[in-house]
Amino acid sequence: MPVTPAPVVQRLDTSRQGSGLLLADLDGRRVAYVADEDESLVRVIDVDDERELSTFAPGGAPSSMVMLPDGRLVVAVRDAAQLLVLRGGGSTGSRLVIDTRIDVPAEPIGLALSSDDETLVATSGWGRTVTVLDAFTFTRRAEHLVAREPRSVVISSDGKRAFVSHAVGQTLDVVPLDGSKAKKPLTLGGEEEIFERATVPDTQSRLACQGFALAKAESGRVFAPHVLVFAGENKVSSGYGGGEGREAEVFHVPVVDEDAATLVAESKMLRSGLDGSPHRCALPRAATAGKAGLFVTCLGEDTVMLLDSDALNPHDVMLRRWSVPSGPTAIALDEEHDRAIVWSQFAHALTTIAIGDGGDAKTRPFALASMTLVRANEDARIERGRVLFHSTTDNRISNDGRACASCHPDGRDDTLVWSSPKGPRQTPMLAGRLDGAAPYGWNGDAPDVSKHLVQTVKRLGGKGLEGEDKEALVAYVRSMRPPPGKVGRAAPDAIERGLAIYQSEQAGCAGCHGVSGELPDGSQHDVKSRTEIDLSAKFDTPSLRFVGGSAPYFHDGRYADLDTLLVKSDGKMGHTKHLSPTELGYLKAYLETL
Amino acid sequence: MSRWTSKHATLCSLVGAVALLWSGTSNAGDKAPLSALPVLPAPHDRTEPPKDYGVPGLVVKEHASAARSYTELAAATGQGYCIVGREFGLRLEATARPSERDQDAHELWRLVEKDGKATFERTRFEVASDLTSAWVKSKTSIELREVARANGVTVWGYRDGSDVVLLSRGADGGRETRPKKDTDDFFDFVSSGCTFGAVRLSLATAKAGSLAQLHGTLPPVGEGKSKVVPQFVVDSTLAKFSRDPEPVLSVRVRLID
Repeated sequence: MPVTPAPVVQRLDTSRQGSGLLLADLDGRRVAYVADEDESLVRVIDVDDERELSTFAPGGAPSSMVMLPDGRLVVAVRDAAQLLVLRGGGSTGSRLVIDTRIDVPAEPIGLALSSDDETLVATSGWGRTVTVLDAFTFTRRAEHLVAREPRSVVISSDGKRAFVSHAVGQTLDVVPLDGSKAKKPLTLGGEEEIFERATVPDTQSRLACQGFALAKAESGRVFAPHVLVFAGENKVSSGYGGGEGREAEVFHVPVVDEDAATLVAESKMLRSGLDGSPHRCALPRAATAGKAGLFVTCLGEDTVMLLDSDALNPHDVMLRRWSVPSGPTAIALDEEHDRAIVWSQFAHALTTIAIGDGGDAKTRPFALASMTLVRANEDARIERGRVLFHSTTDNRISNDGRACASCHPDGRDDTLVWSSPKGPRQTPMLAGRLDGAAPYGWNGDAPDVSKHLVQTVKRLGGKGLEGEDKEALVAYVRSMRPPPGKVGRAAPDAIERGLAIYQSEQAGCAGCHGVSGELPDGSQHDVKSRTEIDLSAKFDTPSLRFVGGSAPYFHDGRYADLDTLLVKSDGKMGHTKHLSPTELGYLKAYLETL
Repeated sequence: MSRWTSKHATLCSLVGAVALLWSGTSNAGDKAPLSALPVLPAPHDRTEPPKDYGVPGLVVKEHASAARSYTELAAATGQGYCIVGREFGLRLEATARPSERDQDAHELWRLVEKDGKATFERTRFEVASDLTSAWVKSKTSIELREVARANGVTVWGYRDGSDVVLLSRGADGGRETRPKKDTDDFFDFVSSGCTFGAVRLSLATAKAGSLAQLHGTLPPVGEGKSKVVPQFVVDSTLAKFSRDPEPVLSVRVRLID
């Protein structure tokens, strides 16, 4: 019987950077590996033939991939808490098969391979962990607990450190890879210039959010595209945040000196008066740097932007922009052929764009090719809802370019406290937290999700959604993939003791939050949390589902973590004063299982 | 030595070689190390006026009316001259009215292109106390380096003390990000009523990064209703990253709608 020769897989240099789309040469053909989260498939596409060669079901939703020097593919499976190492190439004659399984903390999302191929780094979003692995043996070298929702990771050229972005929060972590434990957070928030007087600008501090992507350039720069938020002043406002003539969200790309692991100071500024067209990238989701510059995919408006990677203010210096099919979540450069390939998750389309500089920019085609992949599990109404949830250009939803996803990245919460007509409001998590949690809103004003949506859209200045689109949006919000489970690592015994404390009359948790914590009483209570600008003292009992991963807490975000909440809320919301530190730990351990 | 096999290493290096052969595009912008820029000689100002008053390229005019009289300086803009003031930001003007308070605040700059080369000339002058004439304190000149050229726009640069200065024809304004002191009355916007504009980047903040931008217009294209005046922007960054042996100037020219 003839033996089929093993396929020859040659990776590209960019394949060390984790992405939902990787390019490689398979038996001499340029192929794209696509992490299709919706269909829970790794798809192998012949880019030039526009033909799907094979698919592989990794047993969960693949989020990103890197390629080892021997052509094996490492896939982060988001809802399986595993990295899979796949061999076989994925051609029609040699399908992908599992070579190795690597357990990692909950929700692996970002991956990166060091330039010497010795170190593999994975981020775990819900698990709040950066795992450092030997890329040859896959043994664990270190685990670093980091802030909420780590996403993208890049490794410095010298392999000494990893840079980790976060979908929420103010930090870009610098994680050592040389065995030391001390990680260094870089603060990402920025300063916006405001010319209120004639000559000297004032500045307004802005908070960082949506750090989904990172990119590293050969020049020693790491780019961290995200948005800077003005969540409003400490007073009642007409909507959510913004105000005073300032945009609620502004696209921003700070630059990190890779070797010094420091943010370049000037790049933290948002300068006024720098002329040019506004370079808004709404919902930046993926980035990669090449010789042409910095490419960023903008999920909110379905575009890819090319920015000047030599500038310290890349967000101000847009060189080109391409329209792409709905939902661009991954991009890979094929510089050998002057092209980039873009994965549009919502449209399930793979688009090739020309990135070379030949000819007149106005006459160049925006896309060389685009192919739509067949889906098996598609619900048109939910798909429509997803597009609406992420749309930043629909004036029925907002009048300032914000989408639902702006404050609810991945359907979760942005950790921010926004000014509102009723006082400060911390963004609540949506994904997996709506069932059984009515009424909705911090004051419990809306009996159902649909009515709450009407109120939210109004506060965003939207004209309002009606009919099928409103129903589609509600259906999508209810269908969003919940976080993959508990965040704690406590022993079962500690959790059991925590449950007993939770259900005890003395602690009084279950009276309002339900027997298990997942079904609140649907009532409003005065827990002495009213601020001087709150219109009401009574707040709706929130669901405790996923409470361990959704800090900060209370309507004004006053408690940064569960430890603080359990101690400081004593006597106002249940009782904890009688609990020892160990017992408080048990209670926390139980809450982290919800 | 990598634990990965030599076969794999060979494959990787082949792919890398392909990447190295990739031809760059003008999208990459123009970069130059600081040492590549010519340095304008420091001025040696004379302290006493010469016998012969007069500044080439500058006309001093007296205007008198019933209400008031004043002196106006006018640059020979057609010959590439321009009066430069620094009060309230860098201002390039075809005419200026010196007062006793700021008569030293002006210089005369000149940009000349000839035989494919661009030359910059700086004349420091003083207006006589009677405000009717002026005399040359010092004159320095330098052959400029072209630091960017695209879309019909050329940008030249030179170094002057702790500043990098960029010049471009057709630029009518811009923005600087100068180091701030509490006592300074800063105005970061620059303007130009001359045939060229200029903007400065500070070496003092190279590690933290310094930005500057020029904007301007190109000659009109088309006629009648289809006539369009293209606008351009010059974005520049001066920065020193850890791996850079010296500060690097990056300049890019864009057309905007």
